[in-house]
Amino acid sequence: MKTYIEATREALAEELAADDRTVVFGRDIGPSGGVFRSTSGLIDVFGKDRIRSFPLGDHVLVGAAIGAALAGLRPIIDLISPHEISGGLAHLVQAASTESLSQGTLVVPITLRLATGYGMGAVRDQAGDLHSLWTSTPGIQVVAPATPYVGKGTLKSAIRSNQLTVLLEDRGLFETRQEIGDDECLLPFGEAECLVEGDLATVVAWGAAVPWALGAAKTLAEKGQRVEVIDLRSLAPIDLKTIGESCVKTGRVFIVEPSLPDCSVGSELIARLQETCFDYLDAPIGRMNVDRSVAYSPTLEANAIPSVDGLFHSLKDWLTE
Amino acid sequence: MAKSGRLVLLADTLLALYRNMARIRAVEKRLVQSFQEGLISGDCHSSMGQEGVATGICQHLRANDLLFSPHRGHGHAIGKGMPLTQLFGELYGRVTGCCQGKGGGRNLLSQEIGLLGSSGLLGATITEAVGAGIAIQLERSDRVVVAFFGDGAALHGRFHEGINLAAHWKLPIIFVCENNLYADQTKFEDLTAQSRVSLRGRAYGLHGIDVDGNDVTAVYEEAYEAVRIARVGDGPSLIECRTYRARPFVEGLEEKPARPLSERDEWLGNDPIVKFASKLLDADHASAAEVAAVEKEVVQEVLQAHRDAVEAPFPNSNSAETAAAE
Ligand SMILES: Cc1ncc(C[n+]2csc(CCOP(=O)(O)OP(=O)(O)O)c2C)c(N)n1
Ligand SMILES: [Mg+2]
Repeated sequence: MKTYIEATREALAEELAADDRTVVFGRDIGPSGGVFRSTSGLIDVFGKDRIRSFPLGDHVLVGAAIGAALAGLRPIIDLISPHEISGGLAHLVQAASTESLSQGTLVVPITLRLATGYGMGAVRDQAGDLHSLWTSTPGIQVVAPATPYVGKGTLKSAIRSNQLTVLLEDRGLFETRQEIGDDECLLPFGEAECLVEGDLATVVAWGAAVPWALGAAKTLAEKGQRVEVIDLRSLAPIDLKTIGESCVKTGRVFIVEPSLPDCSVGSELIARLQETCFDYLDAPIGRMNVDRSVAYSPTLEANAIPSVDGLFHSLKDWLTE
Repeated sequence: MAKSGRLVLLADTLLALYRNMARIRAVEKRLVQSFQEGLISGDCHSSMGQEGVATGICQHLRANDLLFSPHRGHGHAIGKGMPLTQLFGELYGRVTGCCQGKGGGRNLLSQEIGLLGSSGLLGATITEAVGAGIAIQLERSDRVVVAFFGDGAALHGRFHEGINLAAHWKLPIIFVCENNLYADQTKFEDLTAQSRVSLRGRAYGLHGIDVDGNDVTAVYEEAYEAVRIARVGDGPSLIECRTYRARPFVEGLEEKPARPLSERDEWLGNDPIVKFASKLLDADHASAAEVAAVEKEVVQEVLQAHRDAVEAPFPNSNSAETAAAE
């Protein structure tokens, strides 16, 4: 059994060993192994030139990763809170168009790992709820893994991919454990995965919302109501085929997001389903998000962040509407 | 009276400095315990060990002067006059907090006392102080702005962008770098070839000053001059205060690798409060009874604020904010 952090650290070690153009840039990734211990021990194996500590500073961390990528390295920006690098956003937006501008002669194979998520008294800046900033930029692929296995497989594929890839990794999942086999474990981009089959409705979730969806679906199944659960996994591009086919089958879609509702990935998904599957929908699309009232105090947090129980009750009501 | 080159410090001033440092210390001690008891749900960045800086600077500020503080801001808020009940209320997530429990310790702010933000976004205190300085310059008043930040933030682009313009426009700002030698687990010297922040200030045309941050009267004297210069429109200063945090980077963190024992011993043996107390006694500025009375007084204050916060209600979630956003 490996935790999310252990599984993704294994991914880093494997890819660093496989290709010496791979480097890790990050804050505090020296002997302490990073804020989330995501690089623990790697400096002993690969040295401080490849496991390179940067001071805090949005521009130079992001800018240097882009420059290094343009000059032939394959940089990974280690797990970092989004507010620590969001000042480098304009850099990334520009870099994301490089492949197209250079007609493929230049690529920016950066993997950017962002620690996001609510809970534990994280206020909005720390929660890093900027999901749609990344998904609305052309040329960036965005993934929100929900398990250690998917985390490992996606990270490995991201490092090998020539495209700029952002991993939105939820802090709430870092300690979750899963058996990870010895297979090469490379996961494709842009594919959703059906986790539970059902016929009553399709529940789409990603990242930290996946365990909520699975928990609620389980309780519903015990009461004889079988809903399909799909892990969207890739937020850009969106796997509309898998979601659409499920929608055609069930006629109802409910979206659970681990983030705020406004101009969100869920909003986009609803728009696309409306364009492509309108005739197959038997009811308005349902949704559940982190509430805008989310704030520091434990009571404000508890009421604003979805849970298995809260989702179960919402789904139950929505199914009988 | 203590005599120094420029300033004559009256016994009252000295005791006020002592009281403020002791108050911050008592708060930080209580918060360490509260964190362990689960009363604080988010990050708690203690300023224990750095009381001399917040105190020596803030003592010069008037009620309508402005202040920007970073994540490690309890002492700054206290120095600027935040009632302790508001501070404890905020950290415990209660309605009595300065932000009604919505922000926690990394987000202390209060329009009333001129604390315009304590921000988790590093370097933001520096750039935002520039804007507040512009506002004061336009109103042609003699108010000043103080921006606190750490050694880590001094390596951020916002530092360079901010102090350059502050110097160019002669803004009424006192930039205070609390150089506690580390940014999280990384030693300042390990990521820069120029470890004197004050020299960077001079390179941009600011008054760049070095001072022992654990010597409250030294900080007080430098701040006196910097505030005076800012009030008369002669531009910003950058005061680099060398100090050391007595607690881990954030409560609950096991620091790995730990800071070297010899370094810790040396700095903690140089405790700003212990040092100042013996200075007061040695020079007969205060009696042992007076010092003990201050200690007792602040501990009482803190206990009361803690109790008030524990008894205060949590906010309920149907807040005006949600309604407004709908
Ligand atoms: C722009 C930005 N980058 C990174 C962080 C993460 N972070 C929070 S505190 C901290 C260390 C700050 O060190 P320093 O400025 O020296 O202050 P100290 O904690 O020592 O008081 C870091 C890197 C942040 N909050 N904001
Ligand atoms: Mg520091």
